[in-house]
Amino acid sequence: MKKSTQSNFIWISFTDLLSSLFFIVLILFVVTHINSKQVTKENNLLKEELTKKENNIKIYKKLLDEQSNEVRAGKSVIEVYNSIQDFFKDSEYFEYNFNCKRFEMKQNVQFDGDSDVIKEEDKHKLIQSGNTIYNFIYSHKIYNNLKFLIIIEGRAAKTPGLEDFGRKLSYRRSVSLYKLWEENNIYFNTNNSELLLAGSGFEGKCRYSDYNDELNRRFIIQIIPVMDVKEIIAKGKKNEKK
Amino acid sequence: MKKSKDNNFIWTSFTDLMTSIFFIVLILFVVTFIKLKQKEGELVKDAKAGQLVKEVFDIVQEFKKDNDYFDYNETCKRFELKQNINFHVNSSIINPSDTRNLIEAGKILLKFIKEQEKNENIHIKFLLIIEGRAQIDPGFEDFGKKLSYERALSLYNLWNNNQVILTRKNSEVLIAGSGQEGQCRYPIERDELNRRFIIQIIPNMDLKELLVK
Repeated sequence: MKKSTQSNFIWISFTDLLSSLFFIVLILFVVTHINSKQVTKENNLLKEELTKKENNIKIYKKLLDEQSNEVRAGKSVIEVYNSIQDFFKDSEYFEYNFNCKRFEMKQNVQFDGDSDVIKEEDKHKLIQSGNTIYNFIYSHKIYNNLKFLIIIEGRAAKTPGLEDFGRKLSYRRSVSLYKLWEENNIYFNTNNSELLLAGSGFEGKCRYSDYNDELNRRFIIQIIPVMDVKEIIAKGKKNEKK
Repeated sequence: MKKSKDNNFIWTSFTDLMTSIFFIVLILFVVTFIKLKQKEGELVKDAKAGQLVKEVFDIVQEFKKDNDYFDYNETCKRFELKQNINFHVNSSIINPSDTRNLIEAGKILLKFIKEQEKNENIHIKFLLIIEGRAQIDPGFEDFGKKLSYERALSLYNLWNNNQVILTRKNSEVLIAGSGQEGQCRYPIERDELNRRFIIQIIPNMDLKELLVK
């Protein structure tokens, strides 16, 4: 008898448990069903919204692409400038002039008044600087879309009234350097370089002040990287497709 | 008593372990944070340079648009005068019939430079190169150089005399002469067309703050 009571007790508990489970599941089912109906309704609304948003995303993505192309282009520009800086870092001949925004020759080469003849003692360092530029141009051949303008800009000390003479003199000074390089087999005008001979006479940016005007009897060698911006941006797009 | 001692030992070891793990994670976090900051700095620089590139691109596009006087030469990658200004042999005097057009071209260029100067957000300087050229004449290379420089100078003087002064805060004019050389010359069959000058407009970016490592 005792055993039977015990057994009964177990079954009652079990039934209770199951019944409760049944009710819980039933409630869950009802709730889910109602929910699902609502969800279907909402789903349709969402789908409409989603298509709208997808279109927006396409537009955003396009914008983003353009922006990342820009960033990539910027990266390559900085790379180029850094590589130029690295090349001239320990050079005794060239440096980047931050004020005038150009790479220029460090060595000061002076002419005598009204003369376009390069002094014997300056010839060696000028030939060396020519070789430095040549090596530089050669080592930057790997960069596509990049060429360098090498400008030899002659200058003259001021003599009021003789502006025209000063200009021609300054041009002759830059031609002198060109000839010195030519005699020593240093040629530019390659695929990635263009040599320009210029004369600024009594003018030009970043001159020595009037107080030191005789120091302007010289020339400046500028190295200017010229990038084809359009191709840099186009290249960024191509890389991305890969 | 023995059990309690055992227990103590376990807790001490556990605390030690946890402390070490805490420090390892702390170091990892700091390293990652610093790396992230560095990367972020680089990205910001790249983005800034990119913006500059875009600005140059936009400016070039803008100058190209509706321009009666200048044309972008895709092969030589430079702006050139549309009209063909030719000099007489051995002469550096601009034909009177060309002066009006050249002054107009100079004014257009000046207006463009002035507009860019007003825009304070843009750090682009313009290098304006007037490059004279001469026809090939073997043996007279020196004379050709001088002649070509004088041709460029003629234009500079013409502009100066007509209040077209192109040296400004954001621009630099260079008068150059390539003589019988120079890139993108007319071929030898049409060599007489090389008695001319070319006006190059080169945008130069100001990367000062971006280059300081």
